[in-house]
Amino acid sequence: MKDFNVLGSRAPRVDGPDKVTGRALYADDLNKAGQLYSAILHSPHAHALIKKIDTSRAAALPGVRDVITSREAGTTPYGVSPARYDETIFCHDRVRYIGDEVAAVAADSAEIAREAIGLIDVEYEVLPAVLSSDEAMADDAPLLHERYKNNVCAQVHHNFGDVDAARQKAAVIKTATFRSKMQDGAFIEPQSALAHVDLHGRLTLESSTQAPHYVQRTIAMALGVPLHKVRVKKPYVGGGFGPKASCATYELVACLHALRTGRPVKINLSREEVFLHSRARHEFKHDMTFGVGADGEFLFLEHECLLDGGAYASFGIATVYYANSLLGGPYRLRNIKYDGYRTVSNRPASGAQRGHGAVHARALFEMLVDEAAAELGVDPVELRLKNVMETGETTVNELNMSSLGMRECIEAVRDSSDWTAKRGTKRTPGKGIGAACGFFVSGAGYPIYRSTTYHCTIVTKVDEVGGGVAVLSGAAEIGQGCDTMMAMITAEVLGIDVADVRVKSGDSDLAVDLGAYSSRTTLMTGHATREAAEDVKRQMLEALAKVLECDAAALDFVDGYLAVSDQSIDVSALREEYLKEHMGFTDNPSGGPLTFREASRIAFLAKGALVGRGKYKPPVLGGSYKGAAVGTSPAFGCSAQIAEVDVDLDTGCVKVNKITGAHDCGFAINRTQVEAQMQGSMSMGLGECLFEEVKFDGEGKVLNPNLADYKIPTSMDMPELEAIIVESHEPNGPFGAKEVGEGGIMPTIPAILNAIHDACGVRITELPVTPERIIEGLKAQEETR
Amino acid sequence: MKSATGASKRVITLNVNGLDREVMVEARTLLIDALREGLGLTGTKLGCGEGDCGACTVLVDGVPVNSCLVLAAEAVGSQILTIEGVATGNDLHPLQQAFIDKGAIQCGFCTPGMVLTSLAFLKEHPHPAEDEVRRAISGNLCRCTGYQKIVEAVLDAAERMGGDS
Amino acid sequence: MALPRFDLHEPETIAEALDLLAEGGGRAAPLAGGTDLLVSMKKNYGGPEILVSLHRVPGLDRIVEKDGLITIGPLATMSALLTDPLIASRLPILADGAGAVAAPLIRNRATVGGNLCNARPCADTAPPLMALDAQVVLATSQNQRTLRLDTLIKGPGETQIRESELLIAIETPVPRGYCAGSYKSALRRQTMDITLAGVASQITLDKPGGAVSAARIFATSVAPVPLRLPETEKTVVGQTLTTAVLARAAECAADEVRPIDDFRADAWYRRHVSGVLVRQTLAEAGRRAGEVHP
Repeated sequence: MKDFNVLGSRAPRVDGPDKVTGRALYADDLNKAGQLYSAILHSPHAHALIKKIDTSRAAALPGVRDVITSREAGTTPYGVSPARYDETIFCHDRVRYIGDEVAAVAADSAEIAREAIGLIDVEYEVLPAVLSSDEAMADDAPLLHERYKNNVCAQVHHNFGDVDAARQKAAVIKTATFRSKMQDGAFIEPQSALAHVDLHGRLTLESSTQAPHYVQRTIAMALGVPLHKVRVKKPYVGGGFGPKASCATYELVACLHALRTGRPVKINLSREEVFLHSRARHEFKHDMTFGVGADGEFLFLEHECLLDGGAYASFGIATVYYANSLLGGPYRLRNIKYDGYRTVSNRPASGAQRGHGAVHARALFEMLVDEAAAELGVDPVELRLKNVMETGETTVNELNMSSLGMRECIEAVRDSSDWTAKRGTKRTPGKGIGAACGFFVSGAGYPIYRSTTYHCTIVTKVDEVGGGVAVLSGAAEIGQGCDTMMAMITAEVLGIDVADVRVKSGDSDLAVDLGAYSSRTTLMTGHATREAAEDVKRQMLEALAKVLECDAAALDFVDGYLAVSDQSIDVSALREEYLKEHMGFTDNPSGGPLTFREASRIAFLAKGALVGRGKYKPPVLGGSYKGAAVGTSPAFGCSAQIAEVDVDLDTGCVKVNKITGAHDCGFAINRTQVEAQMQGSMSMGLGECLFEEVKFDGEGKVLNPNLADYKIPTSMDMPELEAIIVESHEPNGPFGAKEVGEGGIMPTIPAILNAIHDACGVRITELPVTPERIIEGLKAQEETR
Repeated sequence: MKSATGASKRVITLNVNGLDREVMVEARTLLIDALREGLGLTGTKLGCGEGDCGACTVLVDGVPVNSCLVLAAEAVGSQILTIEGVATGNDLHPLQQAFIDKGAIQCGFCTPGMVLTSLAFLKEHPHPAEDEVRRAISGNLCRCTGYQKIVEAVLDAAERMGGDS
Repeated sequence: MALPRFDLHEPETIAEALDLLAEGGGRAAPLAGGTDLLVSMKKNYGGPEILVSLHRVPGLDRIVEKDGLITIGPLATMSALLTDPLIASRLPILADGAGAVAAPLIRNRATVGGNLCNARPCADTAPPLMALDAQVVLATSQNQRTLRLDTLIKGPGETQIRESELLIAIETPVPRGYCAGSYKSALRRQTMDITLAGVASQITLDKPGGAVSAARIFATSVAPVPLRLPETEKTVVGQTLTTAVLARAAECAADEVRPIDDFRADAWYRRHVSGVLVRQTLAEAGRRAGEVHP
């Protein structure tokens, strides 16, 4: 394998110094002189008609500069998927959940804005509410949206292969139902934005978003502003995980106030409002029947999924597809029947969250694999190894595994965790070990709106003064490390230090990028970054070759110098020119080969602006069946984990002691960051498995909209996390790289659940794993003895 | 005795990062707001406002506290250290360098709080065991890292600092 | 989250503090660590109009032993209780309780006075102090009185503290003989959690490994106020702490507690885990009692 200077190293993050010194500016750190502060009025009812809104008292409060409702905002529908634009900036005829947005105020201070919100009088006519999929689909259920019959906003029916025929051959058939609750992204930075309009009518929104491009489009559409007059840029963002991947009301509100008042407008969501906005993990119910042959071959899967996503569709149409499409691999499974239903209900809307729809489906499937292994009397890891796909195979739903290191991942965790020995030796009651696998897309094959657009472009500009390079990108660095990835790729191609590459990203003015979702950035934006660097490199070498009157193939940039393969080529005239230009400078080169600094300067003098261009869009992917597009990707990352747990048989508490994980990321551009993403996934998976649920009362009010009662893991809950990197060298990825951001969450929940079963025999079929469920499970076991 | 009536604003002096700074506050002004808005020190972050996440951690007389639950007035007369005061100019503290070197930073929002809590901890416990580190930072939530590399960074910093904080 | 407006006083003597509380009457409240009061004032956007901060009154955080009595100032923080050598050696049950509160950042500010006076059903220092048979000294600008701690707390958020009255000291007798205790709580996460059920057991053995001559067992989060468990105490007094005795105590405790269902936990689980915690704290108390040097 080729040796790289920078790629594959543990280069420090380019944004590390800013973040560790407090210099990194996040949305709420941004301020503009004269800014107004906005606050939003939320519905107190889960479902109600709006009879009347009187804003006069609010408008009369001194310090209030703007009051808006749907009358001012308009009712242009928007949302995530054009086929499901079911939101308006403010509710105009009815509210659909406690927290739904009804009005907003911009005032001289945040306090005045809040006070004004309390002075807006709304007359509601309360309607019956539905708070679950079952309630929503009942015959007499009130309809939230006229167009969603039975409150089902999306459904999928797939039938691959022949499940009935496969059922006849099955020696072992396992059936189970699995439930999970609505969960939250719980990023530490609540959303915040600053909107301002310049005197040419150009609107700029600086927002804590992971998708500036989609936000730009939605703002333009919903507010009726031409797209080129809208700029969206993200500052540093304190985590996204999916809920920040679409335009949100707070962003539209800030923009509308700014347009109407001509003043900059700041808006923050409180932590409670973060929960009310949600756009986070759906609530799932999965019913699966899984059949395995006598020889352990996976034969068929029958899968019904009911997911509830609250009041609006958001990403839900994709979610209900992902819930099954990512079961097509990583094992050979040729017969799959799937029926999925995504309901709306009077609760905060769910969207896409790390692993998007596939996480709990994977959890149930991996538990059924273990159940089948137990009945067959075989090691569950060996059963998985028997069925894994290999590189080059295609799933029954037409997802091609252009690279797949699934076998290597499973073997790596099996060996590193000492799996066989731990399962074989005399077992301590309450101590268990469990394994699971999963995989995920490296970027969705299609943009969310119907377009042939490139998914990303990159403009790479070499400094006219020579020596430095700026990479201009629309990509969204939200902590996953893509700025560093772009800097490293550029540095590698140009043979320079990462320190000499500046990445400017997350700004719709610079380039287009669909954003940080579906784990696309390394593969797609990385590809475009490489292309742009190679483009500008070629231009520079050609310009230098012309000056040197030689063949461009004899020149290269290596280790910060211009490498010349033909000793007869004399570069001294170029150095002379550089030195002549830099008389008086004290850091001029004195001997040795021409530096990159000199060479790039000379290239500029010869050619003018040195600008490289890169772009990427995936090839046309997907089969001919309905919904084939969802789940398609140019590549798939995969992951295996083994969890070791202690179940306290007295209290029912579960402590995870270790997670050993292996992830195939194709090629680790930055080894530290790949490990970091793996560990972050494990942490989110552990939290969602053991602690996390958004709780509602009987009226639809969120009972735990805070980080005390919505519990994410603390440092004392997280165990040692071993992260093993597997590299399968993805042909469709830049330098062989593909995703790591979301594939790594897939095995965590089932590994823990399988370990719990191993520890105490309790099979958990409802998340989160509370001590209560463990105790109930243990009691049930005793009763059947 | 100091008193402040509800609606009135007054100037107080806060000693922040070694400097006496004057800032206008009401009685109810929280330390986090005096720092972020009054003094423009935005390195201290607001994650929840209720003491549940630790993003707002600052040191008051060397003790890490949630600045969202301390009144600015209460901090008069104390030495306050924010993230902006940890490095010396552009020279990073060994703890900050360890965070960078060990990959303990992703989105960075919990980082200022983590660094300050860890800094105070290492001063009291220059040779910590891993479980002590985990306990010390257990009030600082992180959603990105799973804490592994943060713990490694703190242990690494302890070695670099060799017992002198 | 913003606070509502209030007047803030920062007295520098206890007398000043008491005068201010007297002046303010029902409109005034003391401010200690603020980790409870300020949070609820933010959530409700309301609260006392006058806050009398106690931070600048010297000596309110002292922990001293004198004449067989340990006196703890109301402003002693949870962190102080965790690290104070007197507490560690004499009253480890209280260190247990302090250590169960939230997480380090909160513990650096949260005070024992606040923990007691806020009277939350889940407070972690109340059961240990009750098990230690603590009393509290309450003062106004006019007079002073002493109350047993287990009578101080009347209900959730309700105490016997009168208007303008301030808790100025917590007193517990130095445990005599082979006397020790333990407090444990059930949480969902490993830390930074609201106690679902907590048990404080303080016992005296007639000799190391011997029979229990006295027991005080209090449970929290299983009733409106920290609950003494006299029936459970009876199961161990006069007995050595064998597995069978501990099991009987656990069973009795599970019956004796009076938890409710709420969104944090179901009553049946609180009952179940109370039993477990009684067993665990009695075992630990027994172990500690055996190591005491009276």
